Amino acid sequence: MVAVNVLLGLMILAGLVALEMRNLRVAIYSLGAGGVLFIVISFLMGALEVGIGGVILVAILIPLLIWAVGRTTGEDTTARMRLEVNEIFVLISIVAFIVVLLVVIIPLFPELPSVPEAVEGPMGLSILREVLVLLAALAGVWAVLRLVGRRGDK
Amino acid sequence: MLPLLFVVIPLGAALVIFLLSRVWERAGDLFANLATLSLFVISLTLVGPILRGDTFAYNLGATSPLGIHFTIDGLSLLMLITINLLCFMSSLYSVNYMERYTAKPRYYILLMLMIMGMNVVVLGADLVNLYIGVEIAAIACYALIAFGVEHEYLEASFKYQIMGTVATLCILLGIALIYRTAGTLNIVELYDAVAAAGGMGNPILVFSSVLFLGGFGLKAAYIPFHAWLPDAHSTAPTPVSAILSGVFIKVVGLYCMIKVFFSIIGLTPAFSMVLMVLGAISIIVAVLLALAQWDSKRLLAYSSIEQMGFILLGIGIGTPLGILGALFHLINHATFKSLLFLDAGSVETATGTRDLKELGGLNQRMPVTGVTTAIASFSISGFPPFNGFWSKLIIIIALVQAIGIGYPGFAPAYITFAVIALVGSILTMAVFLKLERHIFFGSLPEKLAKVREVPWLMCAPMIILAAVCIGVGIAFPWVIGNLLDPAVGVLSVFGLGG
Amino acid sequence: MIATYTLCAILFLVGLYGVVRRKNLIKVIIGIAIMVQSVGLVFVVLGYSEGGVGGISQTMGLVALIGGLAVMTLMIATSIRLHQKYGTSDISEIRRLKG
Repeated sequence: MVAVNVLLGLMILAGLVALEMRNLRVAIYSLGAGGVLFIVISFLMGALEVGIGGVILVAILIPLLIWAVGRTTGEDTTARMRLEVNEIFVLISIVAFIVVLLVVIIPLFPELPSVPEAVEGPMGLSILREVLVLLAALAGVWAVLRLVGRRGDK
Repeated sequence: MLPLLFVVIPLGAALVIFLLSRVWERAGDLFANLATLSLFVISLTLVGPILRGDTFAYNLGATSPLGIHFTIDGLSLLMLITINLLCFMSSLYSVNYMERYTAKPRYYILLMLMIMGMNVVVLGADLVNLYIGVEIAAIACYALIAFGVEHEYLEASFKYQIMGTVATLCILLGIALIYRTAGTLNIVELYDAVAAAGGMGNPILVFSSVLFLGGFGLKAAYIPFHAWLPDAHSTAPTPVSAILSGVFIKVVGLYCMIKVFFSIIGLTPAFSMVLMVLGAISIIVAVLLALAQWDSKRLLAYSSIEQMGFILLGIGIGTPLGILGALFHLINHATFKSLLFLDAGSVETATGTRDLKELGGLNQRMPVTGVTTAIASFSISGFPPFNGFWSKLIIIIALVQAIGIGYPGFAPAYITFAVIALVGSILTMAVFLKLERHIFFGSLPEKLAKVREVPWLMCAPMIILAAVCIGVGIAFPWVIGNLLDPAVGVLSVFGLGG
Repeated sequence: MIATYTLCAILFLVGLYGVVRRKNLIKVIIGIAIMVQSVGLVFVVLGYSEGGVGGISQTMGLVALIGGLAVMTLMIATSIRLHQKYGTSDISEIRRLKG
């Protein structure tokens, strides 16, 4: 579990960098790094299905975000942080501190009761439901990306 | 198989519209209305069997929640009838109204997906299916709000997308925690499992119910969580606004909240108080905000928050009479609020404006819209014998009755809430007097002298809904006996004195 | 285990911080993405036992991820259209609706 906790700490760091970075492309790459860590954690814990879901998420979301940045603006003028070494260093030390603190705190808490659960494989039906959700989103995108919404505009 | 129809029909209609609209432009008009009409008829045919005590179940695939599990009981039937009646009215109204937007088939496809999502929510027998329904309905709803793809539409939609997604993620976390503690997701099994896990004595369950309150509260737009609603409901295309205010917030917000706090956790004094306080605050704050509005659809949107407050107040009492009043007000609000939105849309179609200051004297020029708006305004303000009168009366009687049979020590609160409900009703009257006076009475501005009534296909749903308002108001004992009592029976076992 | 849960909670709060505090459209979507990943991880962690992760937890983790992906796709489309209309990605300048 220690390895998972350290990777989670790195994910938090990647998330903070992604949110604070002024350059949006770097921010998205940082989010992608967080996504890769997510996949690694899932596979490390044996959650194949979620891991594959994570791969799909990263593989679709990151190119889409890069494309969106290309269509909008490359710079978040409201964010503070540029790519400066000492700020990243401060972030790393904050996250390292949290991780160390938690590793020390673990024994102080009681364990949550464990629910025994059968380890079953993926189900076709649950995939069907996901497909319906994605279908709704695709129909939405198809409607939102129209250039003219009302007759008579432009 | 029967419950599955409520999913397959809209999905099939969406597919047919997608395929046929390339060769035949009117396919959307025909198939959307056929689908919604058949859904409404099917839901009506279930009234008899449900009244006899039958329940319908449909199970596909493995044990919960990996498979698809639907049930229809009294409560879900009541919601199904409301959803599908209003969606039929809205799609009828869309035939002419949506001409002003481009790409009508895409609108119908999204509408069908939204109906399917709402049906899945009320049919779902476990929390995962319920969540999937919320997700599908919400995504279709975001796109429908943005359907005009102009500044305001996109802005309102994006705001709602952010808030709605945070809400659904909170709900999902709540589901995770409740699953971790109780070990099941089936709604029927959860009640015992939650009780076995210590109920509200278990801090994890308390935390997850707080997450549910926040998540579903945001979806239902109660007062601290209401910021997105006036923007979204006033900018969306009118038939969509009618569905959003009429059923959407009730299905994905209130219905889920009722499921969680009654059928899963069971009502406790603390939750009873939280629900009633949220309801009372929503009544007072929203009605005052509504009074200050000059945009007709914005005014109606704020008034929706207020009327949702009445429903939550009734639910929060927890007595069978309170639940009855709340569910009765739920269907009544669905009918008259969507009627009011359709009327506002007709006025906008005819005059080109929603600004109350630019309107006036339309009663002679638009008789159908004028009369139906008057009926809806009477209903929402609680004039006898319109339907809104009876449900508000029942809620107030339930509050008074609860002084005797409610939770001990709550008596001052019940009295306060009854007073708030009364004051709220009077202020509602003021809101709709303002609406009536500025749109339909007074002098007709010169530039509106040539205004004509909207086409008959837009008038028809307005007339039908007005007839429902009057009919339910006159035949309310029949409605209570045949539709509401089975629904109240489902809930009152979990409520106060159950 | 409790440390892992806490870290997931921190990740969720980091995402929420981004959604609430960042003013750029893309940054808000990044915040949502971080929240979605943290919810997915919560399901992985709570289904975890020595033999792997339970099927129901995995299914729900997948529900979180795919649902999030669907919403974010729509959000990206909306934000591109918003940028075209308003000429800015700064949320504080996108407010034509009153109240």
